[in-house]
Amino acid sequence: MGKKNYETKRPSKDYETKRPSRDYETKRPPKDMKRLFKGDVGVEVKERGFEGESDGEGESIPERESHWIEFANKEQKDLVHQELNQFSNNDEAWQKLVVKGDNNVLLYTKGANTSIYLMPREAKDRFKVLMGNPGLRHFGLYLGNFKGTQFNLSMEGMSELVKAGGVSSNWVKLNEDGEKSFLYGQDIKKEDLQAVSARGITHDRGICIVMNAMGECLGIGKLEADDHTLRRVSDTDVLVSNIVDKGMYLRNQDKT
Amino acid sequence: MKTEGYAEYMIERYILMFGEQRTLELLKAFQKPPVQSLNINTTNTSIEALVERMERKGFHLEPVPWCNTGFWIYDIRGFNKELDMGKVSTFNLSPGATHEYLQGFYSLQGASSMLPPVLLDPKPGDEVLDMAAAPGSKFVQMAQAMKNRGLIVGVERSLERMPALKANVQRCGVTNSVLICNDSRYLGEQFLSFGKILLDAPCTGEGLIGSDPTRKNSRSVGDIETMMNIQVQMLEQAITLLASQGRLVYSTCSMAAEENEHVVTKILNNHKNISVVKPPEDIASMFDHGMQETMGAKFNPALKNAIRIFPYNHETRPEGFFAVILEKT
Repeated sequence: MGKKNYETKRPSKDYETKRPSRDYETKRPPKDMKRLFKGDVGVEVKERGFEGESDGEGESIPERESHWIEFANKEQKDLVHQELNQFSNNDEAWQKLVVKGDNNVLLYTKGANTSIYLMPREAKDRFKVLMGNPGLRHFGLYLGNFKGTQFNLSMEGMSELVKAGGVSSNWVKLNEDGEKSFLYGQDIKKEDLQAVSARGITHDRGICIVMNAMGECLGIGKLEADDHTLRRVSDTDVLVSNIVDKGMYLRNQDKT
Repeated sequence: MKTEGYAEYMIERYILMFGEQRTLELLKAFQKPPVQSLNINTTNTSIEALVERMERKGFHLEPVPWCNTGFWIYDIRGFNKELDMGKVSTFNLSPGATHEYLQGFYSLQGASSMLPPVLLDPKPGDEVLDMAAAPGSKFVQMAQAMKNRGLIVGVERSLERMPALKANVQRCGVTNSVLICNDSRYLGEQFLSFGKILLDAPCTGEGLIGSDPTRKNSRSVGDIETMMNIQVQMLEQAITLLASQGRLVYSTCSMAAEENEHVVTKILNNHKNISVVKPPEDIASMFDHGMQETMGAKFNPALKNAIRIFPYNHETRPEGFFAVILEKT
């Protein structure tokens, strides 16, 4: 039996583009997308290419992959909510990022990738117009993406969560040398550690927030050690592997 | 006459535009690069905290007088304010590779380029459009002034420059933005209207000669004309998108009157509902003002209220810049 599909009701009309301009092509999402997300409103946009991308003389402007934006439904929001709860007590992370941040939770689908973005509620009416633009490349806060029905927080999402003071579980703090090596993309060993959250790493997939001694988010790690408290471990073993770190802003800045 | 690597037409034009004395001062200032500067992202940290952290890493920060979050960067060892303000420091650790940079606590940004966002003066809750947003230092500066409230839209034509823009926006924790890859000239009337628009237009970039000496001879007079036509088209589109009572800042890092006063005069002639706004006196008094005539061309008299930054305006040799505030009635 396959994974459970999301039960998607018709989303609110708030993000529905009623009359797309002729540049935009609005239609129902393709079948493969419907397997996961049944919503049939929103806006799907064929992205246009630009002159610089064409093979010669600007004659053939390539068509890029289309994207689709809609409100996240209750089930999708619940999955995001559950993931956030793994890093905080009493719903604090969800409350601080979504509720007090006064954000809409939006689902962005492009090809096989489905992501969650937070967009300030106050910008809703303006964004309704912009979301149909074929050149749209980024908006609001990229909170994370779905792999099947599993939601993975992004580094930007983690970082905002830490800034908002919404983190109380599943974190490690590194000393100065550890911080340096983690930001160079290295994994974490015992000598790099300064502190671990009270109950160790209890996240169901071993995910943890990696912070420096001052409690600033450096990136995301994954538990590799057998002992989730990171106490009974050897000096040389990798305790937490590096999934993503903020050094990537330098390493990736020229990549397209 | 020795041209020191400059294309000949440039020196001739400088003398015609600015006179011999100012041309000499300009060329002298262009011989050394500007002092490096940064803009503190006050949505992620406080000025005091960052100054202290940077000092611990060997950087001394001196405030840029026209931008309260802007600072010049010096080597802290033996720095003497009376003697060393014009000194270009070399650092063991690049200011673009510190942990504070990766945390989005600051952006590296030319001191002159901090001026257009200051003149536009975005506030929390505003709706702002940046029509040439990459690589994003001015975009982030405006977003931080908005405290992540309201909406800031960045449009960038070049797909190749989008990753740098997106990385800066994400690194600095900007959460109220929308980034669009498109040619700003063709956004069309159906695009949104905005109360505040920044058009830091693409230009020949003569003002950057201090930091990039290849620009002494990499552009031709034909390039000036090409850029001027693009700038007029972009500014026309900006006027279309500007809301009534809205404010627009037009800026370039070019020294050429054709790309600055001429472009704005053309727009003022075409649109009677557009006027030039006087910039704050404390800022305007630090720099030169816009030209009213040069090389036989007369410009709109209101352009005396435009700002021209010459590298000789300050001992740190800021990049050459032009900025003017326009308003729609």
